[in-house]
Amino acid sequence: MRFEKVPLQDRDVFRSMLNTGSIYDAMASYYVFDHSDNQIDLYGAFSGQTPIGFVVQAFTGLDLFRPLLIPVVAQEDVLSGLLHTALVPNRPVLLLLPIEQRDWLTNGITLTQETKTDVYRLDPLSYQPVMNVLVQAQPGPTGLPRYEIQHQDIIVAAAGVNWAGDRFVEVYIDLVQNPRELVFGKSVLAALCEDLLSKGKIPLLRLDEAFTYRRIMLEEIGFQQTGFRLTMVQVVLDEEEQEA
Amino acid sequence: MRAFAHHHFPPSFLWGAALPGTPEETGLFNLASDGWVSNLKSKSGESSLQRKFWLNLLDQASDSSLTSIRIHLDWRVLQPQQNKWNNQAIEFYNFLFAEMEKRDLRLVLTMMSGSPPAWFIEQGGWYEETCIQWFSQYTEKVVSSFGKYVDFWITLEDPIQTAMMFLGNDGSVTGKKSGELLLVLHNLMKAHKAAYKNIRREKSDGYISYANWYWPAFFRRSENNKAGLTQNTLGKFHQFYEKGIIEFKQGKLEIPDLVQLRDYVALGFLRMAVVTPSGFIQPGSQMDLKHWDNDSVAAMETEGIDQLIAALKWARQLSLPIYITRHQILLSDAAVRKRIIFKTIRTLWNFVNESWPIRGYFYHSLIDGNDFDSELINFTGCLDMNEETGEVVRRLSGELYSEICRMQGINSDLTISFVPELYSEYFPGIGPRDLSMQMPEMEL
Repeated sequence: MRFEKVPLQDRDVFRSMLNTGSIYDAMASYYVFDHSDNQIDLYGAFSGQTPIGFVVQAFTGLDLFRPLLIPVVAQEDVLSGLLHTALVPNRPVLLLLPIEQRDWLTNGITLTQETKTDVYRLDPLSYQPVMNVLVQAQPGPTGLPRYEIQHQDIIVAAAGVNWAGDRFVEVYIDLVQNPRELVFGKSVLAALCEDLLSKGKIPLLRLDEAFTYRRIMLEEIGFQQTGFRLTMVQVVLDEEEQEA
Repeated sequence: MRAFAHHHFPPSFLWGAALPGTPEETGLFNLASDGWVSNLKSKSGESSLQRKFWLNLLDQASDSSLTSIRIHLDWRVLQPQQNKWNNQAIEFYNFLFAEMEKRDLRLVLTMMSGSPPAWFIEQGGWYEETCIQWFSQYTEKVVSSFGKYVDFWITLEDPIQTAMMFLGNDGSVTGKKSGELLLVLHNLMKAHKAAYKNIRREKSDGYISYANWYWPAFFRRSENNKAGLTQNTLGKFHQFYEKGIIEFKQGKLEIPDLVQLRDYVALGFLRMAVVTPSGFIQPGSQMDLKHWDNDSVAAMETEGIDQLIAALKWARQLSLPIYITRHQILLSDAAVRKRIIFKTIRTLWNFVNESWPIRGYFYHSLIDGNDFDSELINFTGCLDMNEETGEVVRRLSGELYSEICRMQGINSDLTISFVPELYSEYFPGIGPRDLSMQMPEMEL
């Protein structure tokens, strides 16, 4: 088994490991194949010539200083090898990992700031539109749809797109805490979903466990829990470990 | 080191099994006119023991991590005479449904399965338009008696099968021929419409449908022929269910609002393997399933998944939530049954993962039984039952299904434990991409 940085012109070797129609693979597929080339690095695990796993490290709008690290692996030692290849000592990254693989994070790394998220998917058959005249379309700088509600020149609710793949689009909501938070949030999110559905896209949303009170709002729009859970954790490779 | 992967289903996905509700389904625990007729009663003589047995079954269902139970009502039992209701049976069903509620088991209630009451048949049954009135009266009683417990309604089992069995095979209507299918089907759908309105009048919540059976049979005609697939009965009727219109040589049947008269697709998927030297015989007739044929069994296992995909594609056309309300494997070979259960759940996961609106799966059945007024067609339950004592033990296939329900999905460890021969095929495997190739584009 060998681990190595993979030139981006060779990334197609990992295409057979991904199903872009699957919520499990949609995010990794986007970052490997559709994100800006100058913002990603790719590390692969190989058994002979056969790829058996990879991680993609991407700079995103989520955090300007810490890159996002997304592994696609099915074995503990493959994950470990890839992390030790991709990580630089003392440089934190945000790792996004299926919750079942959380226990695979053990030797030589320090984990902090962990959050767990539930992946929700909008069910097109269950989608319920919301009419609210306060909602305004304010496309983002890259042209991706974004909807917001302003009050006295302050944005009190916004819904936009984290990334957009062929079928799935990950959306976010950004709400200012106030008594009408959920009403405004529901309005902007429903408007965004309607826009995306009209373009043949299915919205996904990762709901942080700190915001579980938003679950009913999501379900009223037509989102359904998928059962797929992710953990996001800051990972730092210990210096001694790299030297070892 | 082994590869690990976990395939999740949504937490809201219903994991269910059927309980026997009609005398045809089990010779052991029948409800009849006195409410408690069964072989067990003759041994115990105590209705309290009967209730204990049923409670034990519900506990087993709950311990198996099931979240839902589907049960058939028997019209013959509930309304043995035109103007007489069986209050003992109504009381028993209420007891059963209340106990389900205590165990957080959601109820899927089939209002009628099997043959209708004798008095109904004597008046012409489904052949006469009066059947709509009688069925409507019956469903009103069912809704008022049990409505508070029901989450999902199935007014009728597959109307085509019901019509075919009524007309052609059980001899219940003398002199009527299968050419009159059109008329009977028309009446059945009007009866469904009446039932739908009765339910909605009483209950604004709950989901209503009638069942559709997708029924591929794998058989070979002679020793020299390879096992093959018969035409499933749903195929030629799909337009009827989609658009409410169907044309026969004898005429055209049109119920335009039929499409709106269901809230979900209750899809029955029945697999069977059979040798019949004289060819396939219609369901309900005397099928001789004693002579299992290895080729047919193999065909059922390998081609069965393709047929399941075809059934799901058919159901998807209706743009409604899909529940597999009946997955029946007419085969007792434990190893094959385990593989079929696993492959079926894995296939469903592929589709759920691709955002198809598949919301539940019901294994048929929780305990053993038989079907179609005939003891020749047996199905094997999750639980093995001692016919003398009523004691139940979970079968290996039942253990597998229980584990699937418990973890709300499948993973590589479960595969190693129960169907290790499938591990290398599915983990890591080529995943669902092969299926994606067969999937039509999502219509949003």
